[in-house]
Amino acid sequence: MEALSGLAEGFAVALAPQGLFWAFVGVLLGTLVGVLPGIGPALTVALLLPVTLKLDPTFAFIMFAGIYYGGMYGGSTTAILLNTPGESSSIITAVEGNLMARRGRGASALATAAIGSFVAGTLATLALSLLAPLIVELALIFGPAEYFALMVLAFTTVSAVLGGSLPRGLASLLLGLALGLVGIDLQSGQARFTLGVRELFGGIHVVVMAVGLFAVGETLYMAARHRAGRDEIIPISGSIWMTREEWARSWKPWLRGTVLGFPFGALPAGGAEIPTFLSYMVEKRLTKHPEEFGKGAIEGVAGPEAANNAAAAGVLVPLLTLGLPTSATAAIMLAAFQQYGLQPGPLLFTNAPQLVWGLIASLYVGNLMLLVLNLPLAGVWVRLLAIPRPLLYGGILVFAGLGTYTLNNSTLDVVILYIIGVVGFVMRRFGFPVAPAIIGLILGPLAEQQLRRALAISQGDMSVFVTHPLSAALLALAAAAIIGPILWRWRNARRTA
Amino acid sequence: MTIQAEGGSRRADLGSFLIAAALGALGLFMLWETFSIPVAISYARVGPRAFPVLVSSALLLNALWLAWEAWRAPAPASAEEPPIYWPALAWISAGLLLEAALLERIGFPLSAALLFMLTARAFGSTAILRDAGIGLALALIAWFGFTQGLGLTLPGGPFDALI
Repeated sequence: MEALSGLAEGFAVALAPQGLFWAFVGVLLGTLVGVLPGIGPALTVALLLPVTLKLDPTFAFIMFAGIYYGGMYGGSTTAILLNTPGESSSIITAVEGNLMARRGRGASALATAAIGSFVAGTLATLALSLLAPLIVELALIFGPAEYFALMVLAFTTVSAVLGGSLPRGLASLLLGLALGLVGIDLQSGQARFTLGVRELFGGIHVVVMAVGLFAVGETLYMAARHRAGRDEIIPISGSIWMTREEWARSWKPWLRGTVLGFPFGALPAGGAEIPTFLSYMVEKRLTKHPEEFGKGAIEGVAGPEAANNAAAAGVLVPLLTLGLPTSATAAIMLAAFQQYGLQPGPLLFTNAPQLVWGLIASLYVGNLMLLVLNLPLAGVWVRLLAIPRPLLYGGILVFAGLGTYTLNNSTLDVVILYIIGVVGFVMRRFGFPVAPAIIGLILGPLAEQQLRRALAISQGDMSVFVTHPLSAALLALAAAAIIGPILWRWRNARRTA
Repeated sequence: MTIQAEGGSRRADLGSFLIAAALGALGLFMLWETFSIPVAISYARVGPRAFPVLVSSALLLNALWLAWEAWRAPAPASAEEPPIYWPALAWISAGLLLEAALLERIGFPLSAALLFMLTARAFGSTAILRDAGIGLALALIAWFGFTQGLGLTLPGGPFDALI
């Protein structure tokens, strides 16, 4: 079996001292940024991009994957003890988890979140290992028309899933696509939308975009709220060793969360928000203790936490096999691949098996490390929450400026960073999701490339997209993602009228 | 809908309208720019203009959709937002723009320490000396680590003389 031989090769990389070292650095950093409010894995990987240029790509990706998984673990700690979800995928965890902490069961909530994340992460990584080679074979029959259709599908689903409403998600996506057009067109050599500024010929770097939207936008947003909703850290109480009853109430939600989370991540349906929400609904319905929901039910933490970790692993399936990012972190990891001159997709598995399988194997290792790092050491991480806000955000902006400037040693990039930060602030304030903008920026140029390739092959005949059955089906799904909700609302409106 | 909710959503609607208008303007500007991209004959069919036309038309359509949504329904997230505290935005803006202006003149450590102080101020800190000390220490550590450890070029200003 291809997966097994690949995994064996991968473990040889991941278990070598260097592999272990970078995985550890990754999960440590990931937990750190996950715990700290205001920064997440997407921003961290973006800031590390310029720094890792000289690192062996295999180890860089092992570290990035560790940050990605670590962010998920750390985010739940903050959600439970602070009730401010560090990541959008831990919003649900914050609900029941924080209530548990308030009732003196914080340690149990942290434990079921960490063990559930470990169980789900490991099972989902297993699913990733088995599924990826199959998708790779499928992907080999994809032509430019199919790739273009697939990207359009990812665009529409990501916009539909995230944010307050569909046009808001689309606005974010289109902004990203528009900014992605800036620079020299690689096929014709023409400068587009550069306004004659030389520094813009290379385009707007995804790091500037991500750091601007996440770090600067978030800092402006938090500062503008000016002490509205002060945080209250709830000290951990109780034993981290779950009781028999808590185990009994947790294991099924873990498994159900995994089953819900992985497919949502793996389909280009974007992110972990929907499966965590679904998992919560399912657990609320199936629980034998419905009276505890809304007061701190352990199932309401176990299920969604498992779902968000499983979804995180799922997101890696389209990223690695098709080069299709469906979350902000995945989009930045795609940029990292490009930085090393690698193109994720079916060929990556044959061209760089050591890297791909090393990365996948390191996920198993990283998960184990994270369990150890997060369960007994939760108390240490919590201290980070005590960092005063002025110093935390000051530090975030210092590193934001540093990472941006060192990209091209250009102060214009810092100005662009600020402008994008202001845009991010407005988006955040008015309920526009930022992840579609980052996905649009990085995936837009690739979509254009596939579009032009497809049309070059068909000699300009637009009908290729509908005469190829696969591409037609994907485009139909994309259209459904946009038109479906509109029809649905229209029908409901008529019914209530 | 109660009168109170109406009042709360009106202001949010105005913001959404302005955003829709800005996106529409961006779409128009892009369409205008697109037709100034020179096109060689051989690229006539799927040249550098095709995708920009697609994106800018979509921007225009979506701006109309947003405007319609803002008119029909209140904005989802902004209703619960506290009023914007403008001084904080001013402090942070000054910090970032000053860093852009000064980084290559006085070096990274000093300009970053300034950014740190101004950001801390925006979050209500009044311990200026403490912020300056922590900011400078952080910036110096980052500068030293990144230039010496990772080989990045980052102007040190007066600190260049030390290494």
